[in-house]
Amino acid sequence: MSDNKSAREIEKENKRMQKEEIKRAKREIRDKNEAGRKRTGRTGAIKLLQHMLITLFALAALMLVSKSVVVVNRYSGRELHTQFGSDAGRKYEDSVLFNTLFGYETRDVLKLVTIRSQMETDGAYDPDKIVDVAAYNARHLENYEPGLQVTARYYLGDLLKWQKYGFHTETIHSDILAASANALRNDGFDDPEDLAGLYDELYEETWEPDSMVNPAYDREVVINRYRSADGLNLEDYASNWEEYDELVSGLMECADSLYVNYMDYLKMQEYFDSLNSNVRYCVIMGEGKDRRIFTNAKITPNMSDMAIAQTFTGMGRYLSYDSDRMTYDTNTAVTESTFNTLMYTYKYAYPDDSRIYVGVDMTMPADDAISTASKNYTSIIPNRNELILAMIVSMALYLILLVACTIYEGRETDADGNASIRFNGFDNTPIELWILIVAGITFVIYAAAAIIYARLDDENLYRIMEIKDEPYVYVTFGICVFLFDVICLGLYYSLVRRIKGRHIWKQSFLYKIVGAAVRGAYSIYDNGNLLIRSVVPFVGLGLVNAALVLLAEAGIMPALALIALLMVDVLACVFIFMQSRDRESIIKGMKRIISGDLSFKSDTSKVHGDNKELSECVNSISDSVRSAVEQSMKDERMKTELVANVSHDIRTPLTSIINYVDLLKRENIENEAARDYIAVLDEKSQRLKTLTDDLIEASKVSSGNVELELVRMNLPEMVTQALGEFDEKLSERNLSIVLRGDGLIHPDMMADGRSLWRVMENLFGNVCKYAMPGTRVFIDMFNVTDVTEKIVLRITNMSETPLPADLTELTERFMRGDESRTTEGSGLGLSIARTLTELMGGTFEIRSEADLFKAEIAFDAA
Amino acid sequence: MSNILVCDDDKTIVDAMEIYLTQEGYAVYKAYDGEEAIRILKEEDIRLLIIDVMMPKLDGIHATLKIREYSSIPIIILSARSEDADKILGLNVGADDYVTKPFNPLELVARVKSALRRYTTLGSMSGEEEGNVYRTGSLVVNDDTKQVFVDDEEVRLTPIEFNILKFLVSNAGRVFSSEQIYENIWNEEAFGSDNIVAVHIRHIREKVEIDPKNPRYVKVVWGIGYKAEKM
Repeated sequence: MSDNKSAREIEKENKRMQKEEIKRAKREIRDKNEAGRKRTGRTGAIKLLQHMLITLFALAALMLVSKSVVVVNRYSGRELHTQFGSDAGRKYEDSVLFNTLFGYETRDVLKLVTIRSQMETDGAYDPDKIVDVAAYNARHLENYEPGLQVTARYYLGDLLKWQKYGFHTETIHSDILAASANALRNDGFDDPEDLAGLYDELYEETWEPDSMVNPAYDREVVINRYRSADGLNLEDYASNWEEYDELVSGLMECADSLYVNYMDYLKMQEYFDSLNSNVRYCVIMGEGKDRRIFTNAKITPNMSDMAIAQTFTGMGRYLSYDSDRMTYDTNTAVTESTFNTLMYTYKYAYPDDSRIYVGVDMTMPADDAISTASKNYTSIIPNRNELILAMIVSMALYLILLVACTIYEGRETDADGNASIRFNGFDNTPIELWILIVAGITFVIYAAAAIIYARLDDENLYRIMEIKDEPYVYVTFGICVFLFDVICLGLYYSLVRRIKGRHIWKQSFLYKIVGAAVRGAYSIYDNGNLLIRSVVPFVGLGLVNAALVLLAEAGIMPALALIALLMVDVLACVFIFMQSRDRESIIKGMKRIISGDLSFKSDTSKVHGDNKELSECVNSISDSVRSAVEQSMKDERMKTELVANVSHDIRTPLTSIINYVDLLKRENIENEAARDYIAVLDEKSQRLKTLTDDLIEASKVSSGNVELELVRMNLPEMVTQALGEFDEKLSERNLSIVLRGDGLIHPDMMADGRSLWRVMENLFGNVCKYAMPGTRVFIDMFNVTDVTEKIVLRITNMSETPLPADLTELTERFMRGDESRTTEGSGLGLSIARTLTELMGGTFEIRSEADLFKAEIAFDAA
Repeated sequence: MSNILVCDDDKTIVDAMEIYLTQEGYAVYKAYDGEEAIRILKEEDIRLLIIDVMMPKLDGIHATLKIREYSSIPIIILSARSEDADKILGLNVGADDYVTKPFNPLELVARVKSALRRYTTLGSMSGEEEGNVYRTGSLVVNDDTKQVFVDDEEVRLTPIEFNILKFLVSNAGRVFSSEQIYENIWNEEAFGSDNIVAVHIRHIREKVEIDPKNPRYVKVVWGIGYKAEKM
């Protein structure tokens, strides 16, 4: 009862302990999870910090770019100007920005004045201004090469009007031509043949027989509306068609050019109006009554040059140029050479007595490019260095964190300090998918940027510039950068984890595809059909090669085809190599089996095709050999046991026999015959004893079931001891020993004393038994250098009886030297001696020469 | 005389042993299995036990183990098994001697005598030896009287044999090569391999040992030399 109770208590206790154990395990798991979560939290925080840093960097960069760009509205449109870091600390009027703008404005002023000089008389637009077409073209048009000296003078207003509405042309016919020809004839072309010649002369170059319009009879001319200032038609100026054509084209080009200039004139006058621009200019040409002044400043025509110059030098920034005196003066960064470059195009419009003044009213009453730039300039420069610093610091921190996180990413140490790589679910998805996603996002961003850049005309740029400082732009940009970094870093860290965990390859699509391809190839290769196995891959390789070569020949992606060809052949080569390697490993395995390592098994799962079969065959051969060997060893052991058991069973009755024969001997038996019988019994029972002993020993020895303790010993000592043991027996047979061991340099060897004694006992026992009495027995000891240094003992004696031809059977078990002999001995002696010698690592040999019996044992000298 | 118990399941062997031992003057008790042997041991004043191993009911090894729990009488194990392992097992369970079948009856008698002498004189020998008496086990070499005793029985040796034995026993446990022994005894250098020492030592063994081929005191260390076992 009490036992039961205590058992129940024990059970209770056990349950309680189990519960605690579970609790503890749960707590451990929770702690571990918490630690993991903490760690995850920590790395998560670091990554968040990284994202924030890159966002900060991007925002600072954006701000720097947007703040260092100034958009100004100039005459030619909206312009983007960069502010330079070198301007830091400079005043606006000393900045590169201001000087650039000033230079541009100066160039435009020069252009405006050029046009004004064409369009105006006394500072106002004058449509009645006379324009000489050839002279105008010669001065204004770069490519104009006047051929014939024909010209006409027109009113400016007429030219602009005609150009505005276009010149009208008509096709005149032969009659009109003829009329013209008449006119020509009046000028001296009176011979109709000459006229025909003239036609040819005029039109042979452009003559085209198939032309719809026969130039000989039809041609285009401007209608007779365009009268010159002199009230004449065009043809009135031309003496032939060539001159007419030139005049028409000259007129048209001149009108076109003037019209363009007129448009510019209107626009620029507006742009440089003193209410719209802070730029003031004044160009004076000529002296006295020819003095002309072009200006937008408050300058009256009567003002002296000096006064005008003073007006400009009184402005904040100015330049003045006097081409008459060749003087140039400025307080801006626009040098004289720059000014000359700016003026070069319009040089023709400025006579060599021009005085040019350009200045900027630094009070900036007007809202123009210079004032816009000024406003932006003063607002940006103070933050520039801070922004750059912020960029550098955030990028440096980002990179440091990146390197640190790369090193520690995914590393996890368990309680035992074993480091491992922790993956998350994301890491088990194929990497290619994520690379594609990131590449896709990157591509979209790139494409968007490219499209924006391509469409970045003035209008769009202006729109961008208008919103560039809006907070929502920064917020949007920042969020975009942040999200992009989240994706990119996510991919990056996943890559890092995969690489660290040797994981990247096995998780990829490519791996699966390659694996499937390899398995497919192997399935062909492992196919049981010899034809499929051997011919299909070969033919396949040949076909693929041929196809790729043909493809390259045909010029369809030749480089790709050749690379594919190379890859296919390299793969084939690798495959052949691997196959040979497999075969080599099988051969190695076979060699191991041959050398006795029957437990060797070659791994059949790693090899394919013929090699697999070969490897399996080798394995089954080694299996059957091993089982055969095991069986034979088992049989041998059983035989040994059987012999031992039988011998033991024989011994007990033999004991009685020996004892009672001995007792019989002690009886005083008078009968002579009976005494002889007893003697026979005695002898045979003793032989039986020897026989059983030897039998046991022989079976034991032949099964290798002997414990050997190899020690360093001395052969001469051994021989001496043995001779001592056999001294009397040898004497009985009148055998004299001749011991020759003087040549022994290395007398030591490794052997087991008792076993070697057994060998000696058998050898000397044989000598005593079978040597011819009264002869000499030679015992030789010497060293032989074979592969190793050997020590040899040779015993030579004269046999009493003829020796058999084949001595090997003497050492066969249960064979006797002479089967007919019935002396004492079991006949196992030599067999035991041989086996023991060999077990100790020595060699045992018996030979005969006529009646000489030689036994020789050899060991490695120690 | 001493009472000896012979135990073997083969009656003929027991009878033969009885004849030999009775001739030597011992009173022989007979048993045919281990249990009977133990019973007789308890009832009679037995001084020595000869016991076979392979027996019905209780085999010799187990019987020896049981007897050793209360008695220290000499036990000689008889066995058909001649393996070293069997011998070691027999001696380890407490037997004093191990004789393999088939045995020479005279040898067995000699072993019985030896075992009895050792048993009866055990402890009485100490204290009487002075100076030139060397001893190992029951082998005593008295240099003063030039006498050698084995189990208190004097053995007659030639002077050279005596000197060799004295030399070995006085250095019991050490191994000497034939050469060293020769040089020590004859006081001259040994020339070549002469087997004179080996012959003398065999003679000594034949006189001192019960079984010269399996000597107890003077042992051959094959290939190295000779030694007197230190006991």
